[in-house]
Amino acid sequence: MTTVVELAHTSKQYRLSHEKARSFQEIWLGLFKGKHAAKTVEKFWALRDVSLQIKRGESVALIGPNGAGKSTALKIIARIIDPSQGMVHVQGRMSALIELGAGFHHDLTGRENIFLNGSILGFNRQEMQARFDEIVSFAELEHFIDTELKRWSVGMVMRLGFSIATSVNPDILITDEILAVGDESFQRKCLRRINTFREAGGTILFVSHDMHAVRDLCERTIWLDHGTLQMDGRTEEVVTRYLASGQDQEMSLAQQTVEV
Amino acid sequence: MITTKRKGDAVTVWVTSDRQTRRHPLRFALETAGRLADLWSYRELIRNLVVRDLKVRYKNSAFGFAWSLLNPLFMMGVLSVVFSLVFERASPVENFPAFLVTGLIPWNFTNTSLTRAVNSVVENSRLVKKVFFPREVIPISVVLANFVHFLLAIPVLLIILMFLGVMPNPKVLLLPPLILIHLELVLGISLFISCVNVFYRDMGVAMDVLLQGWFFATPIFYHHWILPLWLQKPAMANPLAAIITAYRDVLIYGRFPDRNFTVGALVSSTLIFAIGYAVYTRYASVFAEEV
Repeated sequence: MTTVVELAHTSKQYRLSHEKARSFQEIWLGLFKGKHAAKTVEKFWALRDVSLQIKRGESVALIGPNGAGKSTALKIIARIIDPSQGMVHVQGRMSALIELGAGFHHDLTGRENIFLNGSILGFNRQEMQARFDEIVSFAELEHFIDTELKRWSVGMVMRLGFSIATSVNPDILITDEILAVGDESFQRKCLRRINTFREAGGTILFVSHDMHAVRDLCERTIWLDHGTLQMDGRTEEVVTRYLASGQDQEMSLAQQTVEV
Repeated sequence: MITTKRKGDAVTVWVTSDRQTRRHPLRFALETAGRLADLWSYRELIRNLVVRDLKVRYKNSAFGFAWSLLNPLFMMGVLSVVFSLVFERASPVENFPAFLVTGLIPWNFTNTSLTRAVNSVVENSRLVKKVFFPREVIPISVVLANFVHFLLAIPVLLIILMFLGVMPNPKVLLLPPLILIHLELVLGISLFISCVNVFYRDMGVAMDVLLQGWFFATPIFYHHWILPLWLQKPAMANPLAAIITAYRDVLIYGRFPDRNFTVGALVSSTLIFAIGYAVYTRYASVFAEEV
């Protein structure tokens, strides 16, 4: 099987700018006061020496507490940011659901946004035209598709975003906590669709705090903490160990709400 | 140093930690040119962003596209009145309204493009943070949307000139290359200022003053002949001055533009574009972190 996503000794360093000089004025004032601007910049490793390989057709979950580096890893893989050290290799067309509907414009209609969003994801007009009806019917938005997005509810916008990103048949689907789309029946529909995508041989990289969804969707799980790789293995084992470590309060909260 | 290698649909990005390694300038130039060629595969996105811009801008305005003409026309009216009544002796130009409008419509394109481009990356921060695509698409599409307005304004300009007693002449065929030089200049500046604005928001604030300064420094409501002799050559080193003078030569006087000025404008516009594009792509990879 081909490796479609690979990180090798990948690190990402952010600068935490507590009082970073942002304007010329501040720099000059800083010089005047004899303070050096660089002093206030703190370096912070969001990801430290992470290596992983994902093969075609695998569905892999990334778990870990807030600030563990999950989103940073996804952004590096999606090429939104560059690593500070190490290597990233990606093969195939990606559809990154880092945020649903990131490219939507609220003064345009649903129809116009489908084509705009498609081209942001790298798909041309014909490709989007071919999928248009399916996108609309999956999102259940037939009545509103020629209305401007600003008149839609938040849930409707999210549904359209999800529908577009999963209808374009990417090779790799990257999702960051996006299953909280719409009501329960629509969420189930989303899960079904991701499952279909997986069964068709698609590769999934999935970030979630919802351990139920992780168990349902992914056979393999990678646990990140403080930017380092804690564990990489079969979902059952990793999730059990992770839950036992009990450090993710937010996750246990999510668990409770699901179970209630 | 970050190196990106592409092969088919596979992309590899790796970082060599030593900061001393610098790209050979020639290699940097080649990579930049390659990146410019890659833009072609994103033409659909550029087109859609241009269409979005055009649709959204005049969505709730009664006059719509007409504004891109009304603006320079109002300005032509005001300046004509001021100069022909108040400074009657100070305006040595024949058919002053025609002279003005041929300067103002190109200036309007420059002005609105730069004003909107400077904030374009910052305004699209959600997109930049969440989706991958070549970042230069953003300012380029803003400029192209304004360029569409400019192109649509040109036939109208020809009609206005006819009303003002200037008949079209065959030299009008020289317009396309002049327009392309103009576009190149505006694109280059837009890339540069929109990039600087990501790191220093001062750029956006300073834009008003800079544009006003440029307006007065460019022979738009005056002829460069009225400048002191020693100032004429430096003033025409301003590429926009040469471009607008060339527009007038072609549209009003039906003569070939001054060769030195035009070649100078071509060279400096190309240089500005190359610098703007190189600076932009050099820093584009950190936009998602800074914006």
